[in-house]
Amino acid sequence: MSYIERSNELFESVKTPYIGAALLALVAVFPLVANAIGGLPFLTSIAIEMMIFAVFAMSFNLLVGYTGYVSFGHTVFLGSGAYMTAVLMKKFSVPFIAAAPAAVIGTGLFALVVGAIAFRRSGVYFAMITLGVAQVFYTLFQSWNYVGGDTGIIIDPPVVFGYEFNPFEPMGYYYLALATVVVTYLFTRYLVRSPFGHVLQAIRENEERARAVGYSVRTFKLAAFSVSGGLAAVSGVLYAAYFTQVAPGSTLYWTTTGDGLFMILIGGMGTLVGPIIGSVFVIGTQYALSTYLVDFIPEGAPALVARLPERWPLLLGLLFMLTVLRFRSGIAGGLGFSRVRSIDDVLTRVSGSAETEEPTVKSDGGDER
Amino acid sequence: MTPLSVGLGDLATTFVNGVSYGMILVLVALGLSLVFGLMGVLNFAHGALFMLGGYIGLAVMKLTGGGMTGFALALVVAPLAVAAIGAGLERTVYKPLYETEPIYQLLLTFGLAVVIEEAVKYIWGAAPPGVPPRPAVFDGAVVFMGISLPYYRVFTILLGVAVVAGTALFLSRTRFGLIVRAGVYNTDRTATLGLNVERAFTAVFGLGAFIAALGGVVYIYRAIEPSVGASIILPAFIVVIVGGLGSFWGSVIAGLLIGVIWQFAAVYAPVPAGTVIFLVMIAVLLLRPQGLLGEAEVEV
Repeated sequence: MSYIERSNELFESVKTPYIGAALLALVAVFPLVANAIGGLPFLTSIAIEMMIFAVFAMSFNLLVGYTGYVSFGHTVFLGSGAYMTAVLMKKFSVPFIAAAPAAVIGTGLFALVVGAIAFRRSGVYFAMITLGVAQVFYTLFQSWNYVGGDTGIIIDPPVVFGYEFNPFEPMGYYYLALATVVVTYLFTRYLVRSPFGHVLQAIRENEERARAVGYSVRTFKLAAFSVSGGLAAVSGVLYAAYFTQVAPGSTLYWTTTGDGLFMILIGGMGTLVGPIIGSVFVIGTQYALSTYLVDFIPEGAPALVARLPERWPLLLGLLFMLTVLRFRSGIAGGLGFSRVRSIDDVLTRVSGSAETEEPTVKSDGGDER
Repeated sequence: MTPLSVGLGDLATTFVNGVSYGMILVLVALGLSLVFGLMGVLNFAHGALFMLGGYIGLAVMKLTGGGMTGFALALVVAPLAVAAIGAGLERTVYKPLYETEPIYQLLLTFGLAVVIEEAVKYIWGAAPPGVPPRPAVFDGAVVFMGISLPYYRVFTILLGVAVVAGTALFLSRTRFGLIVRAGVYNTDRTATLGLNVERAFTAVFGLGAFIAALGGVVYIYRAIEPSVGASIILPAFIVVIVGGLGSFWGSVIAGLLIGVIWQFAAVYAPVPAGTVIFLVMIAVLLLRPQGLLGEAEVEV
């Protein structure tokens, strides 16, 4: 029995909807616990950041993990959502509750235009066009005074139906972000298990064949790109609302796209829960290394040891490389969630072992049957 | 600024600055293009090797007390060191991924870029390093037809010409260069003929790293800092794409072209130069995806 099959079996044995519900309940009471142990604002703010980027990573994964197209400019849609929200609120005094959906829909349309250009090419060329588009907006927004240049736009925390969100008492943000993560998860699960999602995966596995079968591949890719962009805008809206400052360096620069790729890959590309796990892991590790590692460095340690915590991206980067080299199915893969018919599965099937045992190949678009 | 107020001297100065910057782009793009041509890997970490070259060169200069000797030594030692590091990385990190989907190679090189940048920050600090004063030889300018050409820019351009010529001769006149060119043309068929393509992979990677590090040492007197790798790789990608992926002379021509466009855009365009060159790249990808000198058959 292969490692994957064993872990699948293990997962199968504990897999019930109750686990999901229990986890959700745990997350829901987290701020109360954090409050009790006196770490409320700090721990809760980390959790909110994790959830904002979980939404971003889920949106990105819809494209990368399910259509197989790697964009290097996905952050432009996070930035678009954030900037549209900020501009509507600041310059046009539109209330948050109206600015948010407008930003998401606007970005979905924007993504449609970008996709129409980028999908004229594939592979490396597709990656470069998307990177180019994102960099064009990054460099433009950096020098455009209307949107505040390098500093960006600073907005007031949103007020929704009389409730004032407050970054220093982040309970409201926490539950807003949590609800968004749950809805985004359910939405992407619905999508990838729908006939639409199955066509996307067909494109990922063999685009020519999907076209030969008769699907209008281009339409499906464009739709996926637009939805993926719109979902990224959802994370952008949350970003603007929570951080109350939208600047090009943090929302439009290509390293944010890179962070998203880190999260997807470490979490588990092409699985539904992978991006969430990845976001929690990457941001969690980042804070653990940058905040808590300091406590373990003895006084008067040599300079090279003392400055290790500052260089947490070094450790994260090494981990990322290790993931690419050795654990391509990511943490979710280790837990038994598998990308549908990954290369490994196909290889198992064509090699001799498939004759004696039916390989565990998940047959739908998601992590679970 | 109206075009009428622009003197010929200004235009010429901008042009020379562009060619000088373009030469640095060429130095980064050559390795990028060779590696892509031979191995099909778009190496995100190549800019980091450029930056690493600058830092190692700087360390050599500080050890030898700066001055002309230090700089000359840096020009020799840093490229050799980075070539060794590059070749080592190719053997250990890139090689296992040649048979996988291209996306993993892209992701790996991306991770490696972060690791190299962070390692440099870890060793030498995150702030821009102190740079010893430039050797006095490079101060001053040669005046040619009323146009002032700063010595250092002239030096950068001459060095670039020498490297391009040397690499071109190496590729066209040596047996090893022949294997490399055959490998770029068709890797599998070259291997089938019994030629050691794997060794060519390592050597080309080392050569690319060597050239990039040379550029990094030249860059010391511009503005070396850890993030330089991440910021030079994007224009270098543009150069490689505009020139045609895998095309040697395409990279050279496109490098100079992008350098000049960059300088002119920086001086005269109403939008940032970064915006302009990315628009150029997108236009090339859409209108002529094989680039200026690339082969017509590209995956589109």
